[in-house]
Amino acid sequence: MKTPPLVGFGDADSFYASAEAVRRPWLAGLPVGVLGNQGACVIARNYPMKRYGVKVGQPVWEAKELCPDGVYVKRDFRWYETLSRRMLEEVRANFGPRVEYFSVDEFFWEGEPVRGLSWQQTAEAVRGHIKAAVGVPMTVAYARTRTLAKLFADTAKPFGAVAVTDPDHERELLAKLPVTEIAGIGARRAAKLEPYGIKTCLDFARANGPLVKRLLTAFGQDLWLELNGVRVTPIRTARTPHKMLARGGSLAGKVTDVWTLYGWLVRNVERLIEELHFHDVRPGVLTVALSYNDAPAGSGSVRLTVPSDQFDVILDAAKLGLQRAWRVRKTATHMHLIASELVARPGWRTSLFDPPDRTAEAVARVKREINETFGRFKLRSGATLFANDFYQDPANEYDVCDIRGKFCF
Amino acid sequence: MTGIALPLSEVPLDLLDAVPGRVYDRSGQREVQFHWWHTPAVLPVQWCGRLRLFRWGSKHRRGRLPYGGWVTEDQVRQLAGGRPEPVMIPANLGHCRGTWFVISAGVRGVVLPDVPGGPVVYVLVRPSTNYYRNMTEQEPLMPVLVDQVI
Repeated sequence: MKTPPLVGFGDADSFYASAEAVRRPWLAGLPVGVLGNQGACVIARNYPMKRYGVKVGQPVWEAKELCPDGVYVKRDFRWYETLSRRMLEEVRANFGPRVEYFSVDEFFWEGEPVRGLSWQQTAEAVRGHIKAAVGVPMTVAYARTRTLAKLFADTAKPFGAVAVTDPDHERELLAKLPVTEIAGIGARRAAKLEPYGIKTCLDFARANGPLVKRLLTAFGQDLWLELNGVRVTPIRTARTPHKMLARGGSLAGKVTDVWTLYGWLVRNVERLIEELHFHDVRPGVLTVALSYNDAPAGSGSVRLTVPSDQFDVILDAAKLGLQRAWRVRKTATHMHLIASELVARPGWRTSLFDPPDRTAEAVARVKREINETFGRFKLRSGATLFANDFYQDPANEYDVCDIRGKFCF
Repeated sequence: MTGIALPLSEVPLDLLDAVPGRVYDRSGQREVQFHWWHTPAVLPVQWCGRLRLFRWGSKHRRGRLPYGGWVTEDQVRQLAGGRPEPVMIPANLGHCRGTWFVISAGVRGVVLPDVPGGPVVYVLVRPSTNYYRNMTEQEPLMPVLVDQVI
């Protein structure tokens, strides 16, 4: 009798730190922390550093107090993408053609047991294959649904392999896990469940469905169904179209000068336009959001006359947005540029009164072709000189959000 | 940057006879550390095809050599009379204000080969990037690394 397929889930262990050890094998065994975009915070650490109590998000000056022997490495998202895609391809080629690129280090797939192997042996085979082929340690789980597979993988970390095929085993594991282990149930949602005696994942699975829906909306009910073996979310082999696209992040320090902010705005406009072109969409609304060190966040949204992906049109709208988001003499730390109400081809309207700007289109095309040929940002707006320091470092060319096709970070 | 480290396996043992006490254990892995505060302060240098240990700069303010262990490119030009030669200082790790950071290949330096007492090596430095300043708690100068920018 054919075994019904299970959902496979792979989660690379301490991925960024493990990726560094792939190209620098001498790092294996040492406490390693990967520093984020500004070099100030630990964004990933391996298990040896974790044992010293270093946490993700912790500033490096605190981390080195906790772990004086720790070694720190600058993030390199291009390298992480290379290994991430290698893992994706290895799973696809060897363990199931239908694979979902969930995040840079997590994958779901429609699983079948390898011929002649049990489910448990198959999980071990995936784990061994990824380590041998890519060099990255991965924890692998098979279960009836993706929510269950992700939960069980978390119990098996690091470098674990687990297949949960019978209900008794499933219940036994669920009883040990607090309900907050379920992705999407944080402290606030857990507080809503607690008065009803729902503390563990098993409590949650056994709870009354309509009650869960009342407490946690349809989102919670979907999780409840998944915990009871009903596949609510299928394996998505292609990224669903974005509802929004955003570019931005830290301003690499504290910024009070409006011209520096303007330089960053232009940088983010250029990055956003790259994304609009890649996805072949145009936004109807553009929002500039600024976070401040010494003031509440500010934002400004601008509706475009017609959806556009042209630099000058987007920049004009972004300038208006910046004007609304800017707080005079306050210290900005982060900026995000968000494109929403995206319209895909062929739904683009054109303005009745503005003829197509052939010159602007030609300039945009030349800029794109030069950058594709000679490297990103080789040709960029002169206004980005206001934030020029950032361009001196080639590592700033590429961020984790530039890795395309995955569902989340 | 006031120190570097290399795996013990990459340093010929006979080199270490002259500078005892430089082997350290980092989470079970043995490495050789070279710090500015060591006496004598030395650095490994690839020189004439092999690894050598050279004196690291000068700690004498009134000596004829530039004071300190670091020089910028502008200062190298001023050393022209000493016939400075560019060198690679091999290192896996650099150390600055308590932070150990990964170095891909090595650090650029200059050697003054013909000075009394034997060759002296200086680490080539440049103004710190924002990233390096953050990582090292505002160190204003950073080493020039081989094919790497931090």
